[in-house]
Amino acid sequence: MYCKIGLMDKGVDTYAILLPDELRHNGQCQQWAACLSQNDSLYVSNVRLTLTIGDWLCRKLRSYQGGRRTIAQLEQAVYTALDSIGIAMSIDWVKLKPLSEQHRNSHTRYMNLCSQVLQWVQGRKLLYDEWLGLVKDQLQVRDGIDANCATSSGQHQPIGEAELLQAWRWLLLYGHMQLRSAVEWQDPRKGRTELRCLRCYENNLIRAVGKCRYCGEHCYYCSSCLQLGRSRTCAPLLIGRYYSPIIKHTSYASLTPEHLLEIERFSLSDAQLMATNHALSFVYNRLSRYAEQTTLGYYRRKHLIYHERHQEPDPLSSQFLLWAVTGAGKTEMIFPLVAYMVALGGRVLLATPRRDVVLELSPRLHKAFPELSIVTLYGGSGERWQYGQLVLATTHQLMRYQHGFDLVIIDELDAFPYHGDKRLYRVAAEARTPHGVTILLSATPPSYLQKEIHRGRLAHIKLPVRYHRHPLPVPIRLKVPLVVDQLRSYTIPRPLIRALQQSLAEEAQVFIFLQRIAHTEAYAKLLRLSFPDINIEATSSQDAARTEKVMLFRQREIRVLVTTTILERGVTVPRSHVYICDAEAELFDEASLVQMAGRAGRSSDAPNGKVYFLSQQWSTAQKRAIKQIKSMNRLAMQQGYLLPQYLGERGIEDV
Amino acid sequence: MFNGGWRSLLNVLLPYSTPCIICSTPISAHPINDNSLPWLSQLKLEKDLCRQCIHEISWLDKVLCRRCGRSIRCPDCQHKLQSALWVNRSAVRYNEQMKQWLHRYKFQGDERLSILFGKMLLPAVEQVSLQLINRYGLEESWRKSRKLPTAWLQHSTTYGWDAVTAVPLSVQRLQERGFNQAERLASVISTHCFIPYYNLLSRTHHSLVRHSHQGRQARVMDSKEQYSGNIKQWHQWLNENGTAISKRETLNILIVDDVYTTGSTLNACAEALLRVSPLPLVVASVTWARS
Repeated sequence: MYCKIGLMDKGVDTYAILLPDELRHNGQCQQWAACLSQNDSLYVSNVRLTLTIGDWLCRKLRSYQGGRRTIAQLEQAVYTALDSIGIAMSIDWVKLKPLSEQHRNSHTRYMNLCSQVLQWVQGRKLLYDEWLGLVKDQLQVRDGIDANCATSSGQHQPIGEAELLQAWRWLLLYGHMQLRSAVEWQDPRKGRTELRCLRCYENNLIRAVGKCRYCGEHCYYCSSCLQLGRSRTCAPLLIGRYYSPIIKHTSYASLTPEHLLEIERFSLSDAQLMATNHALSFVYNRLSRYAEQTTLGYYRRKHLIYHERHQEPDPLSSQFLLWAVTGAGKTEMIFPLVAYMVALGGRVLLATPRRDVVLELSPRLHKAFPELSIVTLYGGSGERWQYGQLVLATTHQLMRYQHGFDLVIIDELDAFPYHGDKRLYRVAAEARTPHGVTILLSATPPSYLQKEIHRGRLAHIKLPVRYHRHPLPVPIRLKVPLVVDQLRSYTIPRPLIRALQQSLAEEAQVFIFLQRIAHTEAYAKLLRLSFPDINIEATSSQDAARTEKVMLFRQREIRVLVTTTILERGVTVPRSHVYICDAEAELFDEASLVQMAGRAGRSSDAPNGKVYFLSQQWSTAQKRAIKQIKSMNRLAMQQGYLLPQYLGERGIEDV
Repeated sequence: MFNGGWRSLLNVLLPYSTPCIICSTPISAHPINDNSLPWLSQLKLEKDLCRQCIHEISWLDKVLCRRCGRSIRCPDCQHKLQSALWVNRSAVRYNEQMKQWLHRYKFQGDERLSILFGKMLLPAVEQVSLQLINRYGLEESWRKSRKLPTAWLQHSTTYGWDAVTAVPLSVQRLQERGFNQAERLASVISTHCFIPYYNLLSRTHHSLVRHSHQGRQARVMDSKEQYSGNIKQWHQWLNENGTAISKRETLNILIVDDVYTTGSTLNACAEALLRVSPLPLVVASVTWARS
């Protein structure tokens, strides 16, 4: 796709916009002119540019912040910018003037549609095909509702394509929606290495083999976000602007969490309440500081902007880490945060890595906030294009949003998709408005965040105790041979058998975590020899009957479950003991060891589960995991959250 | 064992290779030696694919229907007595896994796969070439040469493939997708086997429903009259290879497509070619998958 540069003269302000290349015909010029308001005029260049270069040019024209520029100055800026990348040509500017009164009156009937479309796309970042899908989907929905009304009132006008096009022209001209290239060219002077996918922030793009039939060049496309539709150099990306109601509050004196929220309603434990209050006050402080800044005088604000331009605002300043141990009841603590932000009028995004968590949380949120518009997004979700004040989504869906939420809550940020993928952090950061807050929830924060905590740069709260106020079980170490050797010699070592016998005698459900999928079945078979009258099963990510097996395990039909790291998170089985084989393996890092250990003793009727690390060597990850668990227990005791029976007991640290 | 510093030292000594195109796990550089498929190691798929993904490919190695290259004796071809398309061979069986691969290539638009899929097509091209050799009764002299069928045909002036072409897409779908998946495969074959590529077909109208959403009868009806010869390219072809073609009694053309389901598309294409050709034609086809 090609584009043209347009310069908008609004009398008090001038700015550059990227326009689609459809202004060749006179008729289309008329239609663009019909969108202009009374005193505005639009200058359109006659030069056709590729989308990436046009995008770069527009960004360059906008980055200038020193006051207002005249149209002549802008024209000069376009010329010099194009000259610097070797496109030197004379540019003619066509001036479009607003149409006469009578023509514009016919236009005003689209205004209703415009505001509707604006609501659907606000905070969205969509490819052109996705935008078409959205509009068609939403119009059908709306038409369905209208049709019901129409039968009663007797008049109903369907919305045609022409009206829609007019709406999108108006949105583009007045900056409510921005046209950009899906692949951003940071600097054309430095060559193609400076290309970046604007949706997933991948730098490593792939050059298409043959020439693209759309633009006639060798397109570059992004292979890491292919499943959301191909983002390529000639694909237009539409970014809707989100007008946050949060900014409109000038004073936050009467908007404290205490005023707006009845926190008792959520029935949290003391420890949970403490952590939630910390998070709420962080949100409040940040928003009220932003409000103070915006109410400053023009010159002081300009001064602030100047400073921010030269000094990147610290990305950590908008983040708050809620470090809660496994089984602390993180999900319950989300509710007050959501309620507070909704009471302020803001939009909330709740991102979790896994689809089953989304499906499980959705009905609970619907129940807790019955009058709120909630949208649940995951791969293949039917609510893809709906507008919601609260959006519950899997991680990859965040790529469809840009500056769309005042509060972003990221659950389990150390889990699979985030783990080792810096781009997704960027995606999550981009989904939030510049003034908004990100709240990170984790039981095992990644090491770089832990470092920031040590440096004192990241606001955080530690919640060191489970909701039932018993300490976390500290892992016990057993020295046994590797699983491979056990399978080869076809024997299970004596200490392991003894420990298993004891666990089974205590009526416990036993998790056995292995490193490799291939070993699970064989190991279960080997165990069955030693425990013939116990029901032992194996499962892994490649097992079709996984959900049934986990359910049977929960119902105590299966007593021992041999599995891999797929069950390390989000599974709650009462009265369970945990055995981690080959604990020194590289696959089991500190975070996953703590998570697996966190499967034990989660219910209040059997809070003292046992955790065993079975290994030959004493690896750093094991030491660190045990140290982390112990330090959490110590913290819980110091802060007095543990049950009285544990107070003064030295044992906790040494168990 | 190898943590921290050791790991980085290892990375220097054993540099990281490109990840697998399909599952993006790192590839170990060992060549595959699978005795059941002796030609597999020649394709050098291990440059692009990891070992597991290579094993997942369901090669169509047993051909029981000599006409359409299916691995069962197919009733369709026994019913059909005469068709414009002479013979077809396919590379893989179209199962769930292969469906996902093709989906990624065709609908999600991962164009890197075109080179890989083109390479996977080469064994099928050899099979079709062998059929052509049999048709002309040249098996004896081919055997003596100890060459691959396509390479042998390439040196013979009187037989051999004259052109390779691809099933065209409608303009609208081409713009949607940005590339023609069959054309990309054909160009890979063209460079590997030294057969000139010409765009000999064009599409006359745009079918509104996707083929993959239609039944058999509807497909056959829909495919008819959808294709026509691209006269411009024909002229160019005949002009450029005038001397070679003037010696021929028949012209041999290879059509490339991604999937063969009922064969109606390829048949319609072959009919369209026959309609515009000045000489008798032998039209064979090669497809990536056979369902």
